[in-house]
Amino acid sequence: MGYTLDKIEIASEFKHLNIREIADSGGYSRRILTPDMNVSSEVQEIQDKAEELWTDEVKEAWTTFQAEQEAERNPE
Amino acid sequence: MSGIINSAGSRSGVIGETEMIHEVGTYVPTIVGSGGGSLTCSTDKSLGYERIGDRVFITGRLSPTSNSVGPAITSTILFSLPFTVAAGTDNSAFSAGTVFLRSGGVTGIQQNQTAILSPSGSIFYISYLLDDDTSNNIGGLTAALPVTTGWNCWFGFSYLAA
Repeated sequence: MGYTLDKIEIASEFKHLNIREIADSGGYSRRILTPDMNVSSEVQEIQDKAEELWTDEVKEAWTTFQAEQEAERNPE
Repeated sequence: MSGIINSAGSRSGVIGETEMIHEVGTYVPTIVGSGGGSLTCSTDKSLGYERIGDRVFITGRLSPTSNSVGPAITSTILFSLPFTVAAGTDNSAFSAGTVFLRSGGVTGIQQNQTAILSPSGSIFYISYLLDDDTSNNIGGLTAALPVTTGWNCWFGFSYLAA
């Protein structure tokens, strides 16, 4: 099934890209892109937004947050 | 409230001076181990969502394969969400919700399963409580994926979106 980009929303201090796409069937589909992801296969608009927003500081903050979340998921 | 429903199932209305989001759709969650590896679904790949304001409702069933793509999963299995979780205030964005997990193969599937979401996150995971009051996560550090053949996960929960 093919999808067409419909909207890019920016969420959280970590600049998540909340992607809304429209499927060939006409319905909405959603996914989240986070600063640790490779977006080289995404459409240019998404790549440009990631390039603009995912600074080294944002990537570092997201990496730290993920490590904290992993520790919280597995308490001693 | 007034609004227009378009062909893709989205509506925005106005209550007083506050615009309210209403969106219905589906999404295909990614299923990965927090330490590497991933699972795919040969069938039952999508979950449904409905967003009303900042509240997102998730329903549906996934049927992941038991074999990891890439390295074996030896860490918590993370399912992606359709919207980022809100940061919230006073822990209001933490959320837990209904999960039912069934295996066609085995054995060792723990009870008291719950979907867990944390503020500002992009994923949820499945945790369970043991009789000795300790908890662990599906795919967690001390419990490998407790299935050897196809398995099914039913979900029904809501959370606060960013």
